[in-house]
This record gives sequence, structure tokens and C-alpha cells, in this order.
Amino acid sequence: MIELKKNEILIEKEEIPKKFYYIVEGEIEHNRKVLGKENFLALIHFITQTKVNERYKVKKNCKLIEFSDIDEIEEDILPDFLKYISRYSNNIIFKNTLNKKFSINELINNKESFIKGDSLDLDFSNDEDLNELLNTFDYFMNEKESEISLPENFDDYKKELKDSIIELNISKFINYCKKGLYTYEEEWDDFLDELIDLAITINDRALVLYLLYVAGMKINDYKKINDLIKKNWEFLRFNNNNIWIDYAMRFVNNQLLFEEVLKK
Amino acid sequence: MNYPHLKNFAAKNNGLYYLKNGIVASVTYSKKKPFLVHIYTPGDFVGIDKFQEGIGVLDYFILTECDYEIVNDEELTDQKYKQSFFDFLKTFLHEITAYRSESYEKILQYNLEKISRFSNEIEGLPLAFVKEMGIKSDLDKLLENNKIILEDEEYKIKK
Repeated sequence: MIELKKNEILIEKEEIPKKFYYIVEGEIEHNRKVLGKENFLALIHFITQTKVNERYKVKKNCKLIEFSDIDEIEEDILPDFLKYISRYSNNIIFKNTLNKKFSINELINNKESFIKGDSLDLDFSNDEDLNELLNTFDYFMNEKESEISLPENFDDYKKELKDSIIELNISKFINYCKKGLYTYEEEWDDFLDELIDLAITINDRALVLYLLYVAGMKINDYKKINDLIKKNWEFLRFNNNNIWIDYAMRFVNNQLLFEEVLKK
Repeated sequence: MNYPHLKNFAAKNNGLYYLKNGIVASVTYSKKKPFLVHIYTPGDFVGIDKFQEGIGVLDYFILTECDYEIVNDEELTDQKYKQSFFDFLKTFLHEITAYRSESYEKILQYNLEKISRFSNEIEGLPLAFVKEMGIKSDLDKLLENNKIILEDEEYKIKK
């Protein structure tokens, strides 16, 4: 750990850094921006061995960790490091392709347009089956959800869901499932297994896929999800290989997840 | 989609895909069209886009026979993976930093070059994938300008 006093220069303008730094405490000024703790300094210039465009000057007394190579990074700051690199590369990728700063919201909308076939460059934009399918999902997802009130306890909720499969009311099922996804604290592991068996009984491959995606959201243990997939693989693999359903289900899954993330 | 994808977009994965064999392409979407972002080759760790928001933001498609291992986030600094992971990061950051000052056409050419160097199975981007992803017009533009060729149903870099 090194300590620097206010107004000291850490790296001069036009210098090629021999090290890079992590701010534990204090502030550094660079290119008219103030960088506070948990930031990395000169990392990219260090890796690419290019000159820094502006100097790094201490704004508030600093404690820094210095590194001569990225493999010196310890486990406790690895998450910050990965986040930094992820943000850096995402921003370049999106600046390059979308000519904009990275935004999750925008990306979801873009992907949605792509899947719906709004883009001009696609071969399947006039695919009526696909459009019909997506409209049906829109109907399932958007127009009916507000009419639902969820039961208070999880057992009643489970019964509603099971009944709706038995009654072949998949629209009701999806809406209940979506609305209750994060309402109850109970575990869904065994329940999902039961639901998948029911979906197989009514020979609905799309529903099995949907439930596997729900499993991906509700079960944290990869092994359990893999077990579910393995158990039902024969049904998924050989039963009516409709790629649009796979694709649409992925779209629905993405929407569900992002809604959760954006709520936080 | 006919090309298999790795679970990433919108997913909260614990771990990265450590590619042992095969070629993976990342894709993103603008309002108007999709873009091929980057080609991953054996030895690469796929999925670091998720660390920014804790959720994957790119789509990854597998272009060839593929063999990968999921390395949990906590395992990245294990002796077994540490060196490979940091070696990958260095190369990746070099590439990404170079993208900052290059046109999209140049980036596409670079990625086609990568496929031809690192794959024994394909020499370029398969036409079927290009059509399916809706990135045909970008590649056709390179074709018109004689930067690449279309041969055996693949868009390839000129040798």
C-alpha cells in the first residue's frame, strides 16, 4: 500500500504507466474527473502500454494499492476489478455498435424489436406464425396480469397453478406464474418438478421449456436445474422441434428477468 | 434459433464459460439491427459482460463443435485457472481497446481473420448464421468492397 499527499502527482501527462493502482481511500483527479475509492487508475494504459492523456493528481490524501501485473490482484478486490473491466468493454462495444453509452433498457427494447422482426435486415420479418405467436405472448403477459389477485399462502398458489395446467388454461398459468414468481418465500424446487410432469402429461413442450426457464430463475443450484433438464431431455429433444417457440420463450424469460432487475 | 446459444443474456450466472474448443460469437442489438461484436476462440473466458450489472447483456452463439467448462466466479483465482484467465483478460482488453478507434467494418474483418486462424472446422462466418442473425448487409458491404469473399457458404477473409 502506498500513501500520497494532496497535490502530489501519481502519473505525469504523456507517461506510459509502469504500474496501475486501486484507490483504497482518498481521491485522485484525472481529466477533470474525480475518482474516489474502489476505482482503478491507469489500468488500460498499463495493459496496452500507451501514454496517459492527462496526469493523475492527488485531490485528497490517498491510500493506493499498486500492481505491476494484473495477476497480482487479490481475491478481495477481484469483484471490483471484474466490474471495471466489464463496464469498460461493454461501453466500448455499445459505443461501437449503437454509438451510445451502454443502457440495459435500450438493449432489451432493441432485442425485442429484433425478435419481433421489426428490423429491416432480417429474413423472417414476415413470418406470420412468429408474429402470431409473439402477439399471443403479449396478450398473455401484458393484458391479463392486472386482473389477477394472488392467494396469500403458497399452497393455495400452487393449487391454482396446477389446476390451470390441468384445465389447459395456459394463459392463466403464465400470468399467475409471472405474478407470483417473487411473491412467496418458499422453495420452488420440488414444485417445479411436479409442474413439469403435469406439462408433459398434457404434451406441451413450450410449457416445459417455460418451466425450465422459471427453474433457471428460481433455483440457484445448477446441479438441480441440470437434473431437471436431464430428466426431461427426451421429451424436449424429440417432441415437436419448433424453434420459434424456443426463441419466444427465451424472449419471455428475458423480459421477466429484466423486470426484476429494474425494480431494484 | 438453429445455432445454439450459451445462457447469458438477462441471466444471473455464477461463472464464466471457459472455452476449451470451438468458436463462439457474441452479438448485440441496435434499434435497427444486430451486430456481431466479438469472436471467442479456445482458451477464452466467455461472459465477462455480466459483471457490470450482475446480469448478462450479450448473446453468445456457438458456431462450431464446442467444448467448454463453467468456471465459477470464486474459482477464477484458483491456481488451475488464474494464469489462463488473466492471460485472456490481457488479450481481450487489447482487442477491445483497439476496437475503440476502429470502424465496425474493420472489426468484422478482424473477427473473420480470427475464425480462419483459430478454427479447423470453419474458415469464416457461416452464411446460415449470418442470415439467421440478420447481419447479412454488413458482410455483403465488405463483399462488395472486395474485402472478403463468400465461398462454400462462408464469409471468409481474403488470404
